[in-house]
Amino acid sequence: MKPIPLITLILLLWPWAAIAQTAQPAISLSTDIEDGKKMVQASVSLNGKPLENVVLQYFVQRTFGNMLFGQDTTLDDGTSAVAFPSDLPAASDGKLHFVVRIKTPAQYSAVSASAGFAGDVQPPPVTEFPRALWAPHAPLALTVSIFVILAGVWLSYFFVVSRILAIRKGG
Amino acid sequence: MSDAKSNNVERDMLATLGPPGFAHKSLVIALGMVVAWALVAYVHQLRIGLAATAMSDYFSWGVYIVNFVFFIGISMAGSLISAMLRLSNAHWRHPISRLAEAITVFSLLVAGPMILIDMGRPDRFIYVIRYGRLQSPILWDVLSLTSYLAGSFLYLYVPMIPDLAILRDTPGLSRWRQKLYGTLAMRWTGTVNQYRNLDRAVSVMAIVILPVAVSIHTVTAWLFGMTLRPGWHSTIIGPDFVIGALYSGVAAVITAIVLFRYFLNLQEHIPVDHLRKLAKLMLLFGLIYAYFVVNEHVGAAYTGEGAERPLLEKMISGQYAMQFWGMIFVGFVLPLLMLVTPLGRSIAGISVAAILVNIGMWLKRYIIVVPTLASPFMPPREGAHLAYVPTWVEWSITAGGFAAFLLMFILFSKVFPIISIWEVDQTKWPRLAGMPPIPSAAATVLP
Repeated sequence: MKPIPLITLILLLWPWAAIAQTAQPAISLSTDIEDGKKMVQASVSLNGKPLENVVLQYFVQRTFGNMLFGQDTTLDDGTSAVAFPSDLPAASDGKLHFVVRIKTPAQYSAVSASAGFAGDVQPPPVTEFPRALWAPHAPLALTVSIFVILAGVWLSYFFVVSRILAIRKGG
Repeated sequence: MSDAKSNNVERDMLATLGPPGFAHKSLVIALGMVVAWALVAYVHQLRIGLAATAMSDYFSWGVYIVNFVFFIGISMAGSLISAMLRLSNAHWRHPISRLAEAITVFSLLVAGPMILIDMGRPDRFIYVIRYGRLQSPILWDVLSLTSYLAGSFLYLYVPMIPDLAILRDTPGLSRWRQKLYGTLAMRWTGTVNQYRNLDRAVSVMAIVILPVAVSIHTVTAWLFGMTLRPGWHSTIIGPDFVIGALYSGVAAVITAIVLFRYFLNLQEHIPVDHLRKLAKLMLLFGLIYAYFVVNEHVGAAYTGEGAERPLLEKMISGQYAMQFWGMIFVGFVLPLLMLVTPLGRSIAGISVAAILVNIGMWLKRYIIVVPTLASPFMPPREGAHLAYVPTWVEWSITAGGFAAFLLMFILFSKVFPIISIWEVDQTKWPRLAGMPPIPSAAATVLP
């Protein structure tokens, strides 16, 4: 039997590989009020149909990584929800940035989604460092002193160079 | 000055620019080999990093910084001899001022690279400029050093213009010399206006270079003084470095004068009296510096304050006693005793005293840098032996630095007159310009 050429094999398998790649669930995030309580809600669907019994992990972005704050399983309508972390300070843009990731089934564990919603606790106002020896910007008096001294020295040098050029002109 | 002697200066200086003899060539080759060996050592250091040195987490600085401070110190020579003596109208400086100005330039050209060598990764130097913090004494040092180097180049060049014109007009020179002197002479013909402009330029440089020189030594001192380490954090460390620089600077000038005077037969133009005057200056600065050194250690010894005491013990009777007492005897006791006795009035005595001061001042820089690093506030890890013994790489690069300094000096003396002809013979240019020997207009502006 003649072996199938490699290029034919690739062309035959390509559409299947593409279909397998696209067959991943989609997650959408929103906020909702349930029984007077603010919730973060995630809806999972596959090819437009709700996906049931998917365990979702809810994270919120912090300075040094994502902090897990809840876990829930989707219902028959593909939704799950956890309580909105009202006590967490928002990022500098005033929002809490959520990341929701599928824990099980394992074949979807790479799927995640993220979204930002206005936080309940606003971040402390960003205060500029004062000009100081320990701060990013030097004290004004020091900066001015250095530039005045350097300007004085280099302007004197330029004057000397101008005298050299005057000598060259013969006078 | 008689015409005969005036002609002698020009003739003798032109003679020094003649073809090099066997001894000269041999010296240049020998020094070149030392520099080449230092480059080999540096390439080795670049390949394997600062592990090639004895520097470590405790000894973050070593002989490279010792060399840096030493060469910065002797760079004070040009500012002192040329600028201070020029401003004080001391005419005896004329035959030695160019030597002093050249010492400043060449010592700075050796000192600067020592910092890059110490960094280990020279490509990172650009970060000092890109991310430099104005609050950091390291950036102050970079700004100060570049300003001092630029000013020293100008201060060496400007008073040399009339001499370059003499060389330009000398017949029988090779083409490259004619081209070089012709370009650098700035069409000097010795008119009154040219004298006036020259005088203004030199006077401004003489005034500006002094505070710039003081700043570089002070800022270098602050690299240590702004660090909360025993032996470094002191209110007098700025003036201490300035006086130390004056002391070692005069010693370097004396050493250079003695060598050039002997090898270039300049005895007629640099009389012993000049060396005696310089020896008196060295004695004065030596006594002042000794006073500073006493102040530096007596306070620590009397109070016995926390971290200062173990540092002092290391120097007085501990692992650095040999270097410390060596510095005291070689840098202070012996040369100062020699200078106050009749021995200090002979050329041999002055020369030996100056060489001792040079050695002693290098040891002093070693004592400033190393023992403090051997006295950390945090207890060293168990079994760690806090000792710094420079490796062959560090000694090779140190030798290369000194050889490069001498080599630049020797090559300079073969291209440019080492004695300022027009300052020694002030009748030269007015005479060539067809004017009376000392025209009234020129006489008023002659520095």
